[in-house]
Amino acid sequence: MISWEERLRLILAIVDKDRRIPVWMWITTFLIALVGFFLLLPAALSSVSYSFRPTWTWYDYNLRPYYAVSAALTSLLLGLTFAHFHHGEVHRGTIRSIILYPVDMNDITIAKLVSSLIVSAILSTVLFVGVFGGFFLVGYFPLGDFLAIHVTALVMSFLALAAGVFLAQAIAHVAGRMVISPTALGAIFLLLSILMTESGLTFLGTQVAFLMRPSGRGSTIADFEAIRNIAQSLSVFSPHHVGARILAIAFGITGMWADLHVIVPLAVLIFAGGYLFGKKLYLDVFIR
Amino acid sequence: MFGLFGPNGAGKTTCLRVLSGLTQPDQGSATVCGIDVRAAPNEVRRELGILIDIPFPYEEVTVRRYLSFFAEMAGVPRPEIPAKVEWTMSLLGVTPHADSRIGKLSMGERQRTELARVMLSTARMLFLDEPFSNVDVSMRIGLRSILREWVSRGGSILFTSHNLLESEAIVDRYAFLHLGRIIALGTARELKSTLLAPAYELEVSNVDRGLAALRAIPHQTLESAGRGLVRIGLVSRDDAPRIARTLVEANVDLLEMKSVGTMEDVYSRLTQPAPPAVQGVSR
Repeated sequence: MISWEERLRLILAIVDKDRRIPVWMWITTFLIALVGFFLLLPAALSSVSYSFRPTWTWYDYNLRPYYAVSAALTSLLLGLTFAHFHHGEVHRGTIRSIILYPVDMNDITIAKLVSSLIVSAILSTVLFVGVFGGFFLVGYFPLGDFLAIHVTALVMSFLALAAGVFLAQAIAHVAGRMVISPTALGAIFLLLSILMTESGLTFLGTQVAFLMRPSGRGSTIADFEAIRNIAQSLSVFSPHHVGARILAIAFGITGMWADLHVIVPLAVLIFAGGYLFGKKLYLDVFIR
Repeated sequence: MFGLFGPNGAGKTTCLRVLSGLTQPDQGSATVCGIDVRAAPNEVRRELGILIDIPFPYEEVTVRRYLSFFAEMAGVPRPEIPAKVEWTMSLLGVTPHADSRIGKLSMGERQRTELARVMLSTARMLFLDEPFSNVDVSMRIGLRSILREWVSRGGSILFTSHNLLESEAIVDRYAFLHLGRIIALGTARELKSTLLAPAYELEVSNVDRGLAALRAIPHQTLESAGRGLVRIGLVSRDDAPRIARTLVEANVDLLEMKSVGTMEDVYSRLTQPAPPAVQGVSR
């Protein structure tokens, strides 16, 4: 039996190798953040003056867009970095060397997820804080609250990615081959976690209702209410819905329940199933 | 050192993959170093240094960093990694390329880098699939002595190759695979004596007198091989001691006598297609 210490050593060795991303990625990220910073700087400067320095207050309508920006940013970067680390390794064939060592599928998956988390956490934080940097400098945005939003969105995006990846492992075990790659299913879960939020579903629902409307009639308030009710019911499946609810409670916007009752058991089921099936997977599944 | 040989598609690499716990066997059981491959594939790989398939190294990293990473994966303690990597690089002759990116290396240099990766292993057993492919002749000689030394220090090697002539210098026992089954197993001597007619090449002082004298011994073939050489294929190996005696009696000096059956001949004998079936006769 391979000890946890040995497994951890192997996982950390892979993470240590992966985290050394090319310098151009860092330079590009800093440049984008810098451009965003200067583009928003005039707006930041005009938001305050010597005589008027408003206190920032959180409402539902101003939490949603900033959370959405962070969720989109972290999802994009997590998806891209995981694709680079995991699918890139399979595509280039270098995974053939790694699997010759005493690692199992879970060790590789965990290592690649951790590598993606570390790299995308740094890159996305540079972008998020950099772009809104002007507002933090003039003291208009509370930096701590925005960092809390970003960390929550990052954690929720990571959960969505990890759920997709572990589900792909379980499917691979049942099917006997990699039917859908962990990167692809992870990306689908990242996309769904954004689309399945209340805002995402309401947007999609109104578009569908608009396209399917009888000629000569627009959508009514009743239609919109029905769409929103459905969106609220389905949004409990999105980690970002839960993340935003937790923040809304923390910021004193709402006292509503964070809807953890669906997402937590579902995540536990997927992670446990994926992990157990992953233990049984033979590693030539990457090659076949 | 155990050699696994056979034509393309015989199952050599699949056999190594199953024994390494990488491929699920359809049936049967296998143990490596006392560990059940089906029950604990990871534990099996901990006991092995493996080189399978065409290498796909990280092209963008340097040889030194590549080997340092795999030294860590192989369980070499961190403080010992730099020294072990340097030692392995010098052993395989890749030290001049230590700071070159792997993508810039030739195929032979890549293969030596891959062998260096395997030699970093702390395991006592190596699985080597075509280890000498793309390696030049002078380096092959060096590699053969490295592998022999590994074995002499108590290590074991399971080795596959298409080059049987080269393997004769290092392999102790052979297994010939055909369509996934072992069709012959043994040492070179055992296989040759079982499968080949005893044939010898003799260097004699007078070819004509030698040929005349040797006709007295029951033989399958007897011919001059030019420049003082005579080649004889005996009916029975028991007649081999008669060769020297017969030549001495005929006043012909025997300068050298060597067996001419190679493992390639054994391979050809094992894999030659059956002749077309003749009515009432089958092979």
